[in-house]
Amino acid sequence: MSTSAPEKVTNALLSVQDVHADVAGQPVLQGLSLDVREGEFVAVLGHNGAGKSTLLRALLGLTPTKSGSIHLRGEDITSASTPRIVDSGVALVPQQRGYFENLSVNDNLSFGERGSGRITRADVLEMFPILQTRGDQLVGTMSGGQRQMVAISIALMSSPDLLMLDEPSVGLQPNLVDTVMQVAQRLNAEYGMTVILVEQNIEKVLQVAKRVAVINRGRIMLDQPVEKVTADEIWRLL
Amino acid sequence: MNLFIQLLLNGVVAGSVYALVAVGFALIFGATSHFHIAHAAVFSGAGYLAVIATQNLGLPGGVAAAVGLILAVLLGVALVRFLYTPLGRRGGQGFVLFLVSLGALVVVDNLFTINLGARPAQLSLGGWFHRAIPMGSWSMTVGQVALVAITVVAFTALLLVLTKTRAGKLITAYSGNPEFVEIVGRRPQRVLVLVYAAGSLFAALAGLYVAADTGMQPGLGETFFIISIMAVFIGGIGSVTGAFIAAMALGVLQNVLLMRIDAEWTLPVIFVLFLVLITVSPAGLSGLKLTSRRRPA
Repeated sequence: MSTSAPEKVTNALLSVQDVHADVAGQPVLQGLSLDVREGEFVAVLGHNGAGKSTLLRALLGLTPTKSGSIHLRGEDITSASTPRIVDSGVALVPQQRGYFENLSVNDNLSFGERGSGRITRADVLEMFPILQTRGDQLVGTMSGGQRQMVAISIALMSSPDLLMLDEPSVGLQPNLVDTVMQVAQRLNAEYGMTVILVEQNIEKVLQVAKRVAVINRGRIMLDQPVEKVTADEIWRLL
Repeated sequence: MNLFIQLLLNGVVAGSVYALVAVGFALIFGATSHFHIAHAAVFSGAGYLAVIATQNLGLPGGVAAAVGLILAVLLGVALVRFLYTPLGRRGGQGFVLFLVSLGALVVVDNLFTINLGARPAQLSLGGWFHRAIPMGSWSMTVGQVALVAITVVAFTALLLVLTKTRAGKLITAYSGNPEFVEIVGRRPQRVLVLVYAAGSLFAALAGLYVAADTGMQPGLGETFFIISIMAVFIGGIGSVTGAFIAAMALGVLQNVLLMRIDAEWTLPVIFVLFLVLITVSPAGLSGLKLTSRRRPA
């Protein structure tokens, strides 16, 4: 199995060094290191249980790390609380239930609101026009695709510098997957937002991301710009 | 007919006490899924602390009641802040939290019993409290009318807070998806404190009324808590409106039954009816799991 060493990045927005973390007593992240520059679009690939979601949860302080360090703009956030990390400009769209289903769309967006206001409610509704007429609807009564749009919208309302998307295409129709990927790409290109996209859909990832990192058994096995890797090479590492 | 209406009025009074305890518990359980049995200690604590404030500190009844109310709310907040939350961080959930809560109830109850004895601890609010207000062939005391009015006002205020304010919506959000509250950068600890403070306020109001009316006794908190649990189950786990209506209905039923049976049998009959009800309509228990998340609306 061929592997590529992670690219060493200077002046990283996010720097993850030799992080170990357990889930339910089982080791999941086992010495994972990853650097992400400002304005990058990094896709993180890996099979189920490889540690992709755990990595995102550890970055947001939801899963405690056993060792290693996480720095955001040079500041150590390894043991910081989730609200503090969110205040620092990090937003996560979790794989499941990234919304309050017992509140309306408007209330959900309000709870996301914070930060610089670089992205306004109007911007978000322009990205997902279907939400414009659903402001008073309970999110729990919406379709899966619409809920995912709400989840991404909530994250965007905080105008994050770093947006982390955990498998946003799971369970979505193909046309909605395209919409979500286009929005992610646009946020990176137009707003300069740094994006970490955890995905299983390799073909889509190679279309939108600038860099690909492959996780296996809690470690980065490949970390390369997309133009230097092929889908076959990624498949071999999964 | 006159007797029936008088019993109906008495039932509304009893229902108001049950409703205050039940609504407070429904709010806490609906938002956090903690089976906070020490809610009974907050109820009795309010009464006992007010009595201590009059007997030991010589405070006037009204001031002592305010002191009891505040300290009981602080007791509820202290339980979540220094007991449930640290345990939760170390993985304590469901049954573990219930056992800890039960332990807290036993400790608090016994502390008061050691200090005040097993006799009813009566809070004296003055002669006005027991003064009768004639209503034709029926009557209520000023204290009873005040209780019903406070219950209705407090419940309406809670509904308004839950549905119209940001704090209320945060509680609703937390009840449905507690982890996501953290993901959007809110501090769950603050939500918990808010929920326990509001829930404890309701229980404390009921405890003060009982202490002023009949006197607080060891075990009384548990009795009212058990009835409030019935109301919460009947009304639908986590629904403060359901708990309020069910508690009122239980209070009225318990009193109206006096037309046919002796007082000591009313509660057992209600328990039997409750068992029959949940057997016939098990849907009312669908949210019984400690991990359930329901909207408190």
